[in-house]
Amino acid sequence: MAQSEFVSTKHDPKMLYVTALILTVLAVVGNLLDENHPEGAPKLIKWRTISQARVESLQKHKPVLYVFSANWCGPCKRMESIAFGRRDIANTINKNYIPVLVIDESQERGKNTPAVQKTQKQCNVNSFPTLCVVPWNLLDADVEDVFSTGNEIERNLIARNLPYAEAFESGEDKDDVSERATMDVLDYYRNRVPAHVGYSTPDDISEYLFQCNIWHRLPPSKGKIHWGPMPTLDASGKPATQSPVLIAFVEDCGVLSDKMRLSLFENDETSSLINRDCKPVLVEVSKQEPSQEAIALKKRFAISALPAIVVLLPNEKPIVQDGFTSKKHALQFLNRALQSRK
Amino acid sequence: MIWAICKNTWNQCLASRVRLGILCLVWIAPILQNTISLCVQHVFPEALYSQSNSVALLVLIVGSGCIGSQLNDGTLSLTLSRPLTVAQYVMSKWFAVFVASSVAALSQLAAEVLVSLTRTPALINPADVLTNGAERVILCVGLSAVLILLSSLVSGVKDLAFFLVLSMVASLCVGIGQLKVDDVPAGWPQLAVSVLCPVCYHIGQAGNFILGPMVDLSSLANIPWSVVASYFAVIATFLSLAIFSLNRRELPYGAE
Repeated sequence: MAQSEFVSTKHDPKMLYVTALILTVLAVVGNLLDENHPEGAPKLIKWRTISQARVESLQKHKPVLYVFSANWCGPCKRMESIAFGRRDIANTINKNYIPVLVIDESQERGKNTPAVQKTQKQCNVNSFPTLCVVPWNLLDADVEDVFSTGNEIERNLIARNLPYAEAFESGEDKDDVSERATMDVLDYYRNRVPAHVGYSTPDDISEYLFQCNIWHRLPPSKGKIHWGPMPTLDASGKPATQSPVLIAFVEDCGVLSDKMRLSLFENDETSSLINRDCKPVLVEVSKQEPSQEAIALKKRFAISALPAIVVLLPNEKPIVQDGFTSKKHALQFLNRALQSRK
Repeated sequence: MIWAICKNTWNQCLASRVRLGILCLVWIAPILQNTISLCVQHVFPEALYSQSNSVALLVLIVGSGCIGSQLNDGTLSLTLSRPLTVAQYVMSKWFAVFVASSVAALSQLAAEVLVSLTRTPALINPADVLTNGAERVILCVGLSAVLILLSSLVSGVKDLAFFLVLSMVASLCVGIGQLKVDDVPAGWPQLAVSVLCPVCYHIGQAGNFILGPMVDLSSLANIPWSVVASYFAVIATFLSLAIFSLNRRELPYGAE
């Protein structure tokens, strides 16, 4: 008689137990591997360390693109794999920037390395992910210099070129156009250079890199002043000409010099006064590599801080104003200096 | 799969008015919230569709006490007196819970899409809807397995309390893991924090994953295999443990 197959109610599904065991081992191994090799997908971008990027940036005069990320940050990982995994974006980054992936390890290890701390502070990183482009000549600058307001000039130049001018011709309601223009500008500011905060799609990253490219190609503003060549100066620093000479010393980057460009050079009142009564001369000093000529001029007029204004009057000692000068104080200074001549 | 057990589980869920009432509230809350933002406040909500938290709540409400209540009233021994194994019983319970919770979660998504269709049709992206729907089902399948184990360990709806306690412990571990060494007095406390914090952090993160097993589908091509393995490991391990524990349990023949 054939015996029917009996299965106990308490039969243990051994296959399921073995599968669970294998999967658990796989999961543990996979997570341990991920922990030790967090880069994962973004292999197309040649990431450098902070110190490598610094050396290379100073050599090649290329800006550094910092990508601030954290191992626990899901959107960062997603952005790294989706956006930086795209060949066109990776090529743009490799070609135009020196990319650095800065991983925050404060949660895992209690604190970050001093280099990471310094870079996060410099780029004012409050959340992850954050992208920040720092030009080669601002690598040692503080947060205010990196986020300089001087870029307002460049921003306005771009904002002016936004494509809503044609709407006026098409007879569209002026309020609508104005609102749309405001929204465009706000949108532009939201993705302001040099920092870009939050999860970004590949299109966001392309747009951000495009804006950064514009920012780096635009030279700092020289404003509305008709700058001329440096006049011949005698041994005591007096000019050979009879008209007063105004020498403006500004750095090629940095918040104070940028403010000076905005408040003095771009302003109608100050620029017309300078153009009318002085021979203006602009001395642009490189923050990272100042020229010998600029150093000699600074020494000659005993300038201790940049930006600075020097007024040279015939047969009189040079009048020097160190540091940032607002529009109001610049006007007072100029009027007083020019009155002393009269 | 034993259909009778599946049907019994669904009936058990529908029989409780309190459970149905809470389920309706949790189901409608995100839809109401989005509708109020869009129609009354005229503000775009942070997310067009609700996230995993509300889906997890749906699973917990549908599945809590699915085995525990049978343990409690002694009907489990009667069920197992039929020609079926504990493994079949557990698998059927798991299937019933994830199907019911998936139906609830997907219908909630459908309602949210309808609201968005009337107010912000331009923002609807079919790929987003599909991804959100698939993620909901994935969470329902994973979390149901977790709940089945908890329910097999305790009687009644104590599995819900068990789940909440474990969630709090996981959050606490993550919180401790985020302590900064600089915030602690120097000496042995700093040493203890620097050693314990990373361990606590990783335990907390693992706990959070186990209590809400998910696979992020937003980038299908770049899903790490370790996440997929972890997800299936959680399901297989928790179902195995549920079967193992029930097989070694003395089942009562009356109410506990």
